[in-house]
Amino acid sequence: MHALNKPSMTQAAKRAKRKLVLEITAYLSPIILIIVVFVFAPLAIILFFSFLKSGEYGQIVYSFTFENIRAVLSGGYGKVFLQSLYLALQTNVLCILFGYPIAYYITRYGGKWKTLWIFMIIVPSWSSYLIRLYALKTIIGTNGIINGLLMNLHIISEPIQILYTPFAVALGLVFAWLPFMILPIYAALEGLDRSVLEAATDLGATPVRRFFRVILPLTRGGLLSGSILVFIPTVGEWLVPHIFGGSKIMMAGSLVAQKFTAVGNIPLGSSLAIMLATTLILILYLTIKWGGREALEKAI
Amino acid sequence: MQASNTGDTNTEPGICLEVRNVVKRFGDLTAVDHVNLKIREGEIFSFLGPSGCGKSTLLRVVAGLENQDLGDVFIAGLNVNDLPPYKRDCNTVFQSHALFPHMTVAKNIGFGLVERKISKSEIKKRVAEKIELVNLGGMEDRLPEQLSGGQQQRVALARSLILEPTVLLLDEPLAALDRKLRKEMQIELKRIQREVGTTFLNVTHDQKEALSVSDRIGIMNAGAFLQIGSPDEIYEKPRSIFVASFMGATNIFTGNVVSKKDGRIEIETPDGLKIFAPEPEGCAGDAITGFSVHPELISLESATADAPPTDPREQTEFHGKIKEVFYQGDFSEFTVALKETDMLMTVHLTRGKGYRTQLPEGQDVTVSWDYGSNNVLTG
Amino acid sequence: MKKKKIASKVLGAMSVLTLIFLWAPVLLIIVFSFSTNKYGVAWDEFTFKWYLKLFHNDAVRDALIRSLIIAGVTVVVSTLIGTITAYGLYKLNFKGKQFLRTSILLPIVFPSIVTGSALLVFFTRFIHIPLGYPSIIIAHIVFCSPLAVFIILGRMQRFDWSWEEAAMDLGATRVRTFIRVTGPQLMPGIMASAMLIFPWSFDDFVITYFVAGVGSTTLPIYVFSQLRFGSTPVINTIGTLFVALTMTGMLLMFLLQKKTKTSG
Repeated sequence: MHALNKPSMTQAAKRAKRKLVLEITAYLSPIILIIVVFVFAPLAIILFFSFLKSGEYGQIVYSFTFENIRAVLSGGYGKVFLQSLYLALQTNVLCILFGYPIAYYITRYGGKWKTLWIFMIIVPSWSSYLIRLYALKTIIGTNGIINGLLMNLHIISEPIQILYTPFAVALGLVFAWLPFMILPIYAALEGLDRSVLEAATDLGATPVRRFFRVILPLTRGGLLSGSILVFIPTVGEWLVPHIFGGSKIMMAGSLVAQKFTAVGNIPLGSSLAIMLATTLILILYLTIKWGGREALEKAI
Repeated sequence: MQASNTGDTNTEPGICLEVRNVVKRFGDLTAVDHVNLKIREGEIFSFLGPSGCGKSTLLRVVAGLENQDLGDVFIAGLNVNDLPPYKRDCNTVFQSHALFPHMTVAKNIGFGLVERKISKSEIKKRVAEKIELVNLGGMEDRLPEQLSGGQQQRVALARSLILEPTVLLLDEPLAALDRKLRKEMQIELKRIQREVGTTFLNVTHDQKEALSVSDRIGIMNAGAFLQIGSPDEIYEKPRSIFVASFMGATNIFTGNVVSKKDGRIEIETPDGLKIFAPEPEGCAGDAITGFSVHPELISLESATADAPPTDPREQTEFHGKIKEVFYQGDFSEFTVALKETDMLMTVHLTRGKGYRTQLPEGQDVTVSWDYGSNNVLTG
Repeated sequence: MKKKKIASKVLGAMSVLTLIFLWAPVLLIIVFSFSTNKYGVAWDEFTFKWYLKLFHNDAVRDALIRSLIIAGVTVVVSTLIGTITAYGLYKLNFKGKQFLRTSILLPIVFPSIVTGSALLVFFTRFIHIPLGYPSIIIAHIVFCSPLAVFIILGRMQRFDWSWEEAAMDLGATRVRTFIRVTGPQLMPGIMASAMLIFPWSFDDFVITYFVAGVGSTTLPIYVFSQLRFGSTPVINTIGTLFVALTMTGMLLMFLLQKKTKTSG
């Protein structure tokens, strides 16, 4: 009996394995190809380039150097990096502070208008980011409607400079990324079991205590997802500092763009991009470790 | 063995489905453990067991929705190990019905015929027949969401039967229905089966359903069949502790055979209780591990001091005290604490002749039953 | 009770203000696109002339057509890849699946600037793909197909797979099952992903800007190139068109979702 069965079992196992390999190839090879060729390979290339020298006319000199990496980690560039991290953190905190109340309000008091509220949050998150930034610039510009209004009301006599200030950059960042914080928090709040909240009240928690002891811990996942969606792209921002900061306020993304487009120092640009990518992968890794892989996927 | 190794056919007459030595594992869990089974043509066979016993997995192996790790499946004498579900001569009625929500009742029922490239007029004719068979006249153009649970069940049944499979597999099809509807559908299921004559293989965890619809029942636990037999055999003569308790024979005693005489065996429990039971056929005395009694076979009397002793060879009699009474409507369930041992017995008294309501908790009682009601257990 | 009311009122006011903050700039440029003010920053009188001007502007028309072609190709390819990938990820279990899932997420969460610059170097210095349509379309597929994967995967997780088993059980082969049952059932999800990806591709600026090269101006790149001249009524009209496009896509998606909810 055993002698007969053993080969048929290994055969079945082999067959199953062959089928699995075939199916993986059939369904997943396109995406694997895309990820390997157009995500991993380019990252590997810029990693390689970041150890090369740049020639006088912007050409790449194939000789090995640590100079770019050192440049990125020290002095002016390092400062810009820290500034980016700081601005991203600030944006994240501001987005939570402004985003949580509205998400909470929609969940609890949205009623029949809930869908409309959510629609009004989703549309900006999917609208052209460039156009939205342009619109904000139009409003806060020197000839913009805010200055016009203030002057008409005789509060100021001359247009005030809002553009190209740290405030403008902070405003632009929150404006750009706020919807991406509201939506995951809303999803988390909406997923709360009502009876748990009722139980908390029943057990004597005041609304405020209930918020901090029950609601906030239970929506941690939403906050984490929102933070991934806001913090990570913000560190790499280029357009917001470009439009709202001019040449005065720079972020890591500005440097990368500058080296790749205007100056044309590809090795230095590559090391900046690699530095940015490494920082973010590290942050993502820590997030996954702390909050689980789910937080990352739920973010989408 | 020859057939499983080389050949693809098995021509034992009257057997339409055979499962030989089938094993299915999910990681470390063995869901189906070396199962052998033969299903006869035209019968309703039920796999009955608690959830997780492997009954659904075995059904899915037969359907081809899971591949076994070991063993063979024959449908109508043909080895189907390597055939995908769409090439096997069996169809399944799913627990969730799995009706296609974007197709009307008629389209759902005709689904398989379209795959067989049968002409439109022929499909229309056969669909009409099946709609009549399952009493769904007038519902042809409805969508599944517009049907009740029972009606969806009928569509699922018709959709599978229209392909005239050798075996129809039913994966707990009635589990989602409410109690009244379930009863109604059990009757329907049996009527339809008798009408079309197809072999039904039904999976269920509901003892009553299995007893009322099946020709034969196979009791499963931990991936294996413990006992296969007709409903009355399974219910009245469970062979093992598991089957006995699963079928509701809650009074189970362990014990050994101490004597054998006149077609009667005497069993002694570890506590020293002795009872007589009819000697089972073809069963060695040392295989016997105990006995069981169904609670509805026991009679319950107030204990009287001067009652004459009964002959233990004809009547088993114990003494005890009523511990609890659970009123159930058509019967009352009494829990009796025995004096002879520290065991509890369950007794069901049905309303009607001999029904007593004046047996309060704490009352001293005598429980007795015919020696023939003692069912011998061997496992 | 009273306290509760005040709290909800305060929250409501905050929410309305946040919504105004998010929408006011966009609404204002829509309004200004119909204003005769030639700087496009104030309301003077109603006019359609900027729209007429827009449609007679060859540069805008070229950029618009280019953006539409790119987004169209991207949507079709990404949705196809997204569908089969989601199906594979849902159905198959193998070692490294979690790693693959995380890798697929990378292009979505990574800052555009890293993706854009890495692809630029890769295209120009390594595999020598001409900058223009090929490079832009590849780049768009790289960041759009992962999105399609996760949108469709989300739908698949809510799909009743016993339908598929039932179809195969009733004699339909894998391919026929997909055509007759799985496909039609997943269609709303696939359409929703297409509708989300279209604006995602159409609006993209940063990555496109890096890999476009000279002469391949898409609409967002055109807008960007005009920004240095400050606000203009023509950009207001383009912005209005962008917002209208997104809103249409979103509305269609909401309707689709409603339809699947009632029929599922």
